[in-house]
Amino acid sequence: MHWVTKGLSRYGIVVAYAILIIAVASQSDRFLTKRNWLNLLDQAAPLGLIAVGVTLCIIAGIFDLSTGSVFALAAVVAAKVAAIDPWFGVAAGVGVGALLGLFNSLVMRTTGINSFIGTLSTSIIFRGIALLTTSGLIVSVADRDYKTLGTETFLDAKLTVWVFAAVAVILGITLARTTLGRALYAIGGNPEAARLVGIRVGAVQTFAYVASGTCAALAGVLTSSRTGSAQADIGIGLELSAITAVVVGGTSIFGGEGAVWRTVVGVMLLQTIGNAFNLLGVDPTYKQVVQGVLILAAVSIDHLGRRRVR
Amino acid sequence: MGHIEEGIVNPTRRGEESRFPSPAFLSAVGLTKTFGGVRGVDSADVAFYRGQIHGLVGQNGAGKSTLAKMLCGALNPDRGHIELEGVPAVFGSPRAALEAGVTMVAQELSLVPPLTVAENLLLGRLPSRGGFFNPHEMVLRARSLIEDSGFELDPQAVLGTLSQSDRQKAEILRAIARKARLVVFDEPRSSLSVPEAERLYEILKGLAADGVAVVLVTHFLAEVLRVSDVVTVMRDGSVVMTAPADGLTGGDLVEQMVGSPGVEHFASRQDKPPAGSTQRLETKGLTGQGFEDISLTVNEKEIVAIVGLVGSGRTEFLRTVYGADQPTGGSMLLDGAPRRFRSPRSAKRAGLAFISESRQVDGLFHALGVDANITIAHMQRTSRFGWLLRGLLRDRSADAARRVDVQAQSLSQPITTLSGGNQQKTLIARWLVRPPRLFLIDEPTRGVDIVSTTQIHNVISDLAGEGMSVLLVTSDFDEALAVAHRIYVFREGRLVGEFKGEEADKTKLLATAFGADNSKTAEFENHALGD
Repeated sequence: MHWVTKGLSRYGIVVAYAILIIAVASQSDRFLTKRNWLNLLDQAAPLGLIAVGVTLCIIAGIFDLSTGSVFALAAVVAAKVAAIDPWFGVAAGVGVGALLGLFNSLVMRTTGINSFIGTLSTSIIFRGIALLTTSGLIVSVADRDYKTLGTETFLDAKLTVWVFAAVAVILGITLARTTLGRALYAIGGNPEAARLVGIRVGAVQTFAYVASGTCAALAGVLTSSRTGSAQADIGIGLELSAITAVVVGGTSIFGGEGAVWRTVVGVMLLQTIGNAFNLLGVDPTYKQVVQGVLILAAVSIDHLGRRRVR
Repeated sequence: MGHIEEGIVNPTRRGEESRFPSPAFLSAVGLTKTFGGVRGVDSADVAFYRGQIHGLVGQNGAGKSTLAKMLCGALNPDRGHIELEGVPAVFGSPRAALEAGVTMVAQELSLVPPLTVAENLLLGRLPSRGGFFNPHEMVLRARSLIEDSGFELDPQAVLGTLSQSDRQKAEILRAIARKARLVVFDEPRSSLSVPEAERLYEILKGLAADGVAVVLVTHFLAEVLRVSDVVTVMRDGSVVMTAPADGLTGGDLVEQMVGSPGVEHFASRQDKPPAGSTQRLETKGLTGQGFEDISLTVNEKEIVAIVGLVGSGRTEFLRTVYGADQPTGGSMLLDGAPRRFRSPRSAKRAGLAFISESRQVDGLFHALGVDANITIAHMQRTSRFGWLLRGLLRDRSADAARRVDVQAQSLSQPITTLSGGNQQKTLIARWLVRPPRLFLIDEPTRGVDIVSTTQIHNVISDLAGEGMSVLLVTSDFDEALAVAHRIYVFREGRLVGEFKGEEADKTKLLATAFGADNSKTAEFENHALGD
């Protein structure tokens, strides 16, 4: 393959994002301002956290459709426990996320059912538990310390953004530079071959589920910390937005290929489109159409590239 | 679809032409098919007559199934054509062939599991009344079809719940229900018991007596000789003999399948280092899915090959030794100690390595580079505390790649950019990052060019010389003769012969693998067939 086409197919998403930034900047003075970008990053952080966790799953050939519910349940648990101590609440929320990921993994491993339908079921269970714990009411946290994570800033950026950045870097390095990351790619690319070379397929998949659950919980806790409250029906549909961001970034929906940086670009691209619609004053109803077309384009490119290789 | 049925019904069924068929019903004229440079069938000329059973035999990969598929429109020939009653015809699809009265009972069954037996039998021609499907009529028709055949089968059973042999019966019955004038049976016998096979042969004879041209593709030489009127032998894609079955023996067929002696496909076998005498692997009565009561040994420094026909249980046995599948009986000793591997991982830890028969399906990681594919099985050797070290990754993969001469511009290039031969060498290199004690290789050189094949054989030989034990499975008898110190022959899931490398030749191996009557290895034969 010529290096231009090769570069385009590998970094096409970056090129697309650069073009979008230039286009929007030429139409709006407010777009390339520090204030706008800090705001954009802050809005992107919760979805970004979920999406980087989901990236590990998709690469390992797993669909995690429970992240939206984990987001809600973790937020609810954190807000409830925060009545005792706000930091204990944060820890409890994140811990619950890890446990829910572990639960997902146990369900899939013991029943052997497909992760898509399995996590779809557990997501309904998780949201049901969230509803039961709150009786459908809003849980408010009186202690002002609880709002630290969601509202305080460091070097002008919200703490939320720093948490997102840190998690993305850690998971990115895990995928790219560790034996665990290599095993995730191998399992997603060819599970039977992975088993035959002696990779512990079940254990590695458990890691992906737990990482995804933890990330979704962290996102839920940060969101609840921002408002100082939580309720059971937050984050509905986030699981699909997360998968969308992963795929738009160029990670293969079939597993075995992809990267965390791609997901970060995918999340930012989706957020920037929303931001552009606001700044340019375009009718926001078009936003969905544009996003849908974008997803279709991303998946088509993945599919066509795959056909060329095989 | 009713009008199609009319076209298929044979007007001369109680045929005047059944005894002395004059023009051929279907002829292959110079049929040629190539798969990605590999010859499948090469200018095959055969004629099939109504009222005859025509046996088609040959080694693994001789081109029987490919020829059969071209006859039935499942494959289009690259060159040559088909003549239907003397008139050139083109079957673009199995459906077109069926409309001309030609169909096939395939090796890979083509039934619909969620439907009932009756529905499967009459699919495409379901009886209807006033445009509405008539289930009662369907069951009646299916039942009479089954009763005529003498098979036992419940027309209302859901196909997916039936055993393999019952499905096979349904497949055969469907061809009969289609009232075809030429039916190709591709290994119809493979999952039937002996009495069921006898019933099958009665059905075939009945079809022939009704004026149907029957083509029987099979590995069972004695049976093909007994049942057929005419036998065609294929070798390396070519038709080498067509003769009346009367007067032929199994030995004659094997001779034709082997061809002229003295043509060695592979480099000489003198330069093998001697095998050791210490036992490395011993299986005692190992039994599992597809094989039964296998007792064999592999010594240190020894290369042992298992040969047999496709479906003889070789692959299943090898996978079970590696822990990829679990045995249902028997035991296994490694270096004298009883071992049982619950997973490939535990086998790997005990010093075993395994290469599967299909590198594309469960060997390679297509999305990873050559270096990652090489180092994936022993990542602890390229990492510290789970952290991959680029220097180690580069050095270890380069060392292993050099050992088997993997030809790549860069080891970080995608594995998909390598040729088949280099991909196969990559799989061998994968296990040399940390050399195993016992190397299990299924089809070491399938789809590999001749240069790489020789290189792979040399590497295997060198590895054995250094102390490794190698147990390989191959469909290529020449390969077994070229590389192995000892050769075991499997047939129908059983171990039926053992040969020392120097006393084996291709004729003996084939005769044993096919179970040909006048085999010179009768001693072991009779023993194995005695029970």
